[in-house]
Amino acid sequence: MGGGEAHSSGQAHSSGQADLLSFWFRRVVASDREAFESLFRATHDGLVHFAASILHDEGTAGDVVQEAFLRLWQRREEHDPTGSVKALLYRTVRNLALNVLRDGERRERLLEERADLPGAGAPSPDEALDARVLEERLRRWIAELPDRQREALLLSRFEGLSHEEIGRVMEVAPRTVNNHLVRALRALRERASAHGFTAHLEG
Amino acid sequence: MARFPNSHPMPPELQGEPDAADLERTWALLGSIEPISQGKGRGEGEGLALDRAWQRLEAAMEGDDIVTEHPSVSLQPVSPQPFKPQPVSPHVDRRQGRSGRGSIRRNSWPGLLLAAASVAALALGVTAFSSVTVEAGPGALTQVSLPDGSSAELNSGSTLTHSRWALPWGGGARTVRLTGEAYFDIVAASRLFTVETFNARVVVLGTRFNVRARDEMGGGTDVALETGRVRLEARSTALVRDPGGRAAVELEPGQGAGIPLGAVAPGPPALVTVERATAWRARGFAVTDRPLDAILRELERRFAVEIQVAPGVELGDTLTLHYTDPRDIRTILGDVATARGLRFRETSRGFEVF
Repeated sequence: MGGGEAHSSGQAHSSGQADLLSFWFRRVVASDREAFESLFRATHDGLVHFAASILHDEGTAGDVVQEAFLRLWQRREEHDPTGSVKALLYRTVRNLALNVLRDGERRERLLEERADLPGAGAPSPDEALDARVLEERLRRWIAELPDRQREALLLSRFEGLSHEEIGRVMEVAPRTVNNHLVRALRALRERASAHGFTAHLEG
Repeated sequence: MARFPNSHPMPPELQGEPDAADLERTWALLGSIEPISQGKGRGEGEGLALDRAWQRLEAAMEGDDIVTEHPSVSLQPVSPQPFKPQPVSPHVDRRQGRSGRGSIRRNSWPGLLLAAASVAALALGVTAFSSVTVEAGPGALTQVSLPDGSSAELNSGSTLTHSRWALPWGGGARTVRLTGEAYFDIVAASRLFTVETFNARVVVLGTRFNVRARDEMGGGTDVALETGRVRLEARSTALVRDPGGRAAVELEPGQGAGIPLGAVAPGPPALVTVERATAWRARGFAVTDRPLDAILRELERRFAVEIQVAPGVELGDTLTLHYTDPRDIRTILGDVATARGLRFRETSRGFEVF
């Protein structure tokens, strides 16, 4: 117990979730099916989104996540129940998704599709005020980030993994995770302010 | 900052960057696209999709093939782990007819002083089709061979339940349930071996260790590790009360740790004399800082006697005793009485301490 750490309410929330996940995980390792279902329901969608960010195909992403959970259950007794189940699941999903990419000729197709994304034309001031436009732009800019940076950003910002956990998923040091994240955020900030979204970036 | 939902706070590591404030704003800006997904958001349809995803997984867990909705994608095949019950281990049957003989492993002791030793180790039958329960009765020691090739030695008045087969799937394959005390010699395998007691779980790879689980005054679950590595964790009832708790400690050889009765987490590992913790295996008797009540109960189990206690005897006082060799109960009781300023006498069924 780390006692004495001050948490913001947001962090307290996510650390509460981490406790719950690790509680379920310990039960799963002890073959508790209900805990497995709870774990599945709590993490499934995030994993599918993450897999889809690699595969650009939600159907395949769903398959990959099914496979990852099936493996988790079949090998449940081999896992260290005190480890991070999030890191374990995301790493499995990532490896499976990369296998799928490697296996298929999909890869080339995907690269073509990505080249077809609408270009980043200069926005009009009106556009800049439109949240939907902002959202679309952000998505595109995230898609254009180098793979490692995008991956670190998605896992941290949208899936709530710690640097430590992301390090285990991506098989790099937490320090490297931090570098990827910082670069990703700086790049996005640069893009946003170059495209006139400055109002959103001022304190 | 309140402009965008921001369910995941910026990691503390980023606060150390020179442009932390800018990073934080960018972090918050990204809240406008949460959740990130291809197309639809997490709306009402998602709950149904989640149910379907779970049902599909459940079907796969039952051993059916994965229903692949996207047959164009070839996933790595699931490593096959078919249900493969092995034949009933011969030791289970053998035990039925070996009352007493197998209860005493060491025949090198210089004459056994105990009438109680003639009391057979009870080899109980089967509590359920898939599990086997073995009991060492009062006065007896019993050896148990486990389906995976591991072995356990039970102290008097202890029971061990294990699965009949080494199942690849059932979850119980390398999990045993212990009431009382046992010494384990676990063969290494890729799968974890688990000993469950009333309040604890001991998780091991190949190793030798002693577990004492007594649900009584001054009791609890105590583990002493001889070789290898084990992890001691509180069981689920304790975890439910304290889900965030670090309810586990890892032991190095020569260390011990325990979860006292009523505690929700293990105490810190400490150096122990493993020979003391396992003195019972050679019919010695060793207790460290245990209440008189627990010591007398241990003597009752070990020597298959009843020990009555006269009113006024302080049962909570703790005592440390250590005999490496087999001793007569009179010797031990005499020492206990001397140490506590008490006396004892023989009765028709055993002894009385007063």
